[in-house]
Amino acid sequence: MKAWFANPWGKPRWLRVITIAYLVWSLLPVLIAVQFSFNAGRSRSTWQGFSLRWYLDDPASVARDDSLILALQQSLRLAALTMLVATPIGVALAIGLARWRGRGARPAGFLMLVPLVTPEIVMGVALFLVFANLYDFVPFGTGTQLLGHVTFAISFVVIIVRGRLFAIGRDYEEAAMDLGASPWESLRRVLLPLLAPAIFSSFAIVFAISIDDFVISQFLAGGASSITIPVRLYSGARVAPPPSLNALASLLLLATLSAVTIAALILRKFGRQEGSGDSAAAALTRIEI
Amino acid sequence: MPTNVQAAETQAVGQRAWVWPAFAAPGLIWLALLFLVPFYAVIAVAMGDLDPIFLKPVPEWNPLQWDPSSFGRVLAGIFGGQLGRIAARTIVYVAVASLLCVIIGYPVAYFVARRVQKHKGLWLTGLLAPFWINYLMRMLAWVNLLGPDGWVNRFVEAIGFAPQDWLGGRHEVVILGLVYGYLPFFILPLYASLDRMDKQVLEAARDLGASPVQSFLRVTLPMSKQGILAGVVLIMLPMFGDYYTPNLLSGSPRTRMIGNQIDQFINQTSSQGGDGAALTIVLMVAIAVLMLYYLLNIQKVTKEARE
Amino acid sequence: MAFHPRENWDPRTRRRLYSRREFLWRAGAVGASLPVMSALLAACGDGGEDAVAEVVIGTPSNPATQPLSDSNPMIESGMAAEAGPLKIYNWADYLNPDTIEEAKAALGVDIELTTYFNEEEALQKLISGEVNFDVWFPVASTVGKSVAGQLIQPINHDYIPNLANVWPQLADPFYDKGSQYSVPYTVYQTGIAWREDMVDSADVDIDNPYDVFWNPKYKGITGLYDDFRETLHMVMHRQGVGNTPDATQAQVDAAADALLELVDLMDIRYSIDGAYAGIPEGKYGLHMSWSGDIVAAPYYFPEDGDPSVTRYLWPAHGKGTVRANIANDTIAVLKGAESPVLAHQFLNFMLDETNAVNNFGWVGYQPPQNGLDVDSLVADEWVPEYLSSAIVLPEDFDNDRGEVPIQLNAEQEKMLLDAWARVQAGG
Repeated sequence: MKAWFANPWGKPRWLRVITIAYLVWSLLPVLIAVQFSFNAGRSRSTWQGFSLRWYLDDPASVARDDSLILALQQSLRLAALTMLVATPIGVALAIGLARWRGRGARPAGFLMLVPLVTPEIVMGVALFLVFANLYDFVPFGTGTQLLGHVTFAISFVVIIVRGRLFAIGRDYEEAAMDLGASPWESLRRVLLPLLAPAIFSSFAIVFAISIDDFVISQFLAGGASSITIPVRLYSGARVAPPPSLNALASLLLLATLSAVTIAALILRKFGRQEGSGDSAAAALTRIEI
Repeated sequence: MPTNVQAAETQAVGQRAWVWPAFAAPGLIWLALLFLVPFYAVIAVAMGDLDPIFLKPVPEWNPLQWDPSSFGRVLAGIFGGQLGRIAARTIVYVAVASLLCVIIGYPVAYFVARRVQKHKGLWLTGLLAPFWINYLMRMLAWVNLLGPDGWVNRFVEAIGFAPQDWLGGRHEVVILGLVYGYLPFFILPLYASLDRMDKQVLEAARDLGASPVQSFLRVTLPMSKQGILAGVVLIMLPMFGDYYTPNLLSGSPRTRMIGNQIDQFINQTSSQGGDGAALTIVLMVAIAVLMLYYLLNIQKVTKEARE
Repeated sequence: MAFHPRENWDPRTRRRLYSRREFLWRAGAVGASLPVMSALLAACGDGGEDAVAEVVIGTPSNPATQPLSDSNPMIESGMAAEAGPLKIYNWADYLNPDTIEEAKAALGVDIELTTYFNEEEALQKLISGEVNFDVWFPVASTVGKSVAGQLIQPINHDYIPNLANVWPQLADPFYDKGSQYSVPYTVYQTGIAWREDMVDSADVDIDNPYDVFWNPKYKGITGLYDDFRETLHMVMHRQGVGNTPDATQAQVDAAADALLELVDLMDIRYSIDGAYAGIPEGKYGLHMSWSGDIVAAPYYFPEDGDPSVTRYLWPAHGKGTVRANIANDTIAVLKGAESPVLAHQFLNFMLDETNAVNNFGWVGYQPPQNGLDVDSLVADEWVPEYLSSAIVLPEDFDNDRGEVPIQLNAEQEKMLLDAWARVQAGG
């Protein structure tokens, strides 16, 4: 105890205490919410025993309430489509921006970054107004939501892939070209395989950010059929929600965490190959902007 | 050999002149059509008119016929009207919440980045987890806890106080909601910058006889200024546009933020869509400094990574 | 919120999922508004050869006949029904799924239902021509502009004998004399709901019942609708101004000031679901309430709760002289309908008493049917006895103290919205 007061920096116990307190504070409420999705009763604050009632059996459960099933389906469908559209576009953009040295490169790079710093409500309003007034051939619903999600997801892909591009440098490609490969061949045979881990983790990260998105999904939703889970949580949270809403949120959590874990494992695998020996979690921190 | 390389380079450059922009083209066209054009649509709606039958805003695409009256209304509202109150409240909320994020977040990021020796991956997973838990779910968790019959009130009663109506429009609850919601987004980039920091500089400071406290104050803290600023900007930007946090944790007009006002103008009373568009642009301009700071910061980091 | 089963739905339990008044617009699903007025713009740009039609606004004292136009003819009598499917465009959860099944059987066609959460969104889609439906459910005050904008077509009454089942007050309504373009769907009043175990009924049953919202005894448990028209009208009724479109700026400002007082006096909250969900939960003891919302409230009570504490008063039935809002929704046939004959048949189907009351059981909003009265609705357990005050009577539409909201013009709407923005900015 004395030593601690004498030199709090040597053994940073209070830092440890703060950090643990923070982790408990940040995770416990969510864990409680997950726990109550398994409650046998209707309460979200009194534990009445374990049951899968709110997942399977109750008429209001995720499995049996159409509005919850629809939300789950819509979220998964939207995230999968966003992933498939945004990743190729983003990968191409990342390669293009990293290699392109012309006059347009700087403004292009700048344009790519702006969506990352634009508050979602601003982007939501802008997309909403453009679909309502100009691109009115796209009806509000899955189509507009997909276009909106891809728009903010592209920049994330670029950030992820770009990190990898910088790390591998240009030596391999140039070596390939020295050996007589055309730029196209060197791209296909050398660069893309080297980028594979970044591309796969992009798929997973895009899936996760799309399924997590609330603002854009809400602004661009059409009718009852394009409600996603976060939008459903928002509308439900204000009205004495039954634990089935907790169940829905827990399923969302499961989907997001699976995607992120896959991304982390891929990143760690190629991190190991590079010899940096990062943990999966550390690998993930590198892709956050 | 040198000539060979040169030849390859020349040939490749000849190709690259159009190859690389062509790679970037789909993404850039996408962003032009679905990011830049939408902003023009916001301006067009703000500068437009109302249709006489359905009272809906009609965008004015031709700049020569722009009617800036919604900007006039919005600015008049901000400087001397009810919008000013909301704007001031938003600024206070964001400022207090950001300050709390720094006070709580810095020790946490510092500890995990610099003081953890064993099981670092585990600690990091803890820091990362809230980042990937849906924001709405985290708010829903607090709605459960703060409800009339929630755990917070039970605790309050257990220690002998009267239960409170936590969700009835309290500033402190909304601010805590913001801190809870955005803190992970502050900690992570700060962690990354503290983790990257050159350990040799610190060792040098210690070798030169600096106490741990001195080396923290003289070296670590100044070196992490950049990370703190970037983290603060990163959380301030979405906070300025937040409308769901006050909506979920309050519902009283006492806690409305600018985002709520935009949400209302655009989504609920569409005859005010023009004002909503104008307010969106005013918000963008007001936070442009923050956005620009962050963009330049990313570009700098990118440039370093590139070299 | 959605804890009521749709499967195995039992009409006797009248269970329902949402109120159609839960306009999730605030709460979710916001979707769209702001239509493209390309047609109108084109019309203006062409030097006005196709000048924009005037919106004909009727008032109870000055009923309006909506104009017929050669460019928008009604269908001939005696035509054979189309093969379908019949495409219906309606509020979310505003039609009993069982009623739809029955309509499919009765009409012998398939029915496709598409839903929306707020009327702005619906209007936007209809105007832009993004969607193509046969039947739509506009609120009464939207009928006038929908005629002017040629969204809906005139109705051929030969197909709709059941219009005779409708209350005489609404069979020939002021907003659309002769029901040329619309038939009534549901009726509702705007009143006050409270829980007897949290609020003393004697504090509501006073000369000016609205004053209870300013009674600090109920600080922290009081809520108002997050709806600028209804809530400002409520205050203007309290202040004796009423919902008149002729309200002056000063009167509207006074209403906003009175609402601003509530922020500190009552810790007031605005919600759209407070009446039917917040009251059962105990979150509110006192809330503004549409009659249809409070009829639904008993089914939102927790398992161990006692729904019979719920009370409702339409202030126009109260002691004093204050007025209160009463309104109705309608069903209309869209101009672009591909199956207009089927659409007419569907309107007739919905005006049948049995179908109407079955639909009411699920939806919670009452159809204006001659065959239904307080006694039968209570006796048949469609509405519990303690909420019989929430049953709308035909004579309520003749009541001098009942006021029907009429469509606002641009300046009036702007005045209310500006006042509302001030209210929402809080204290």
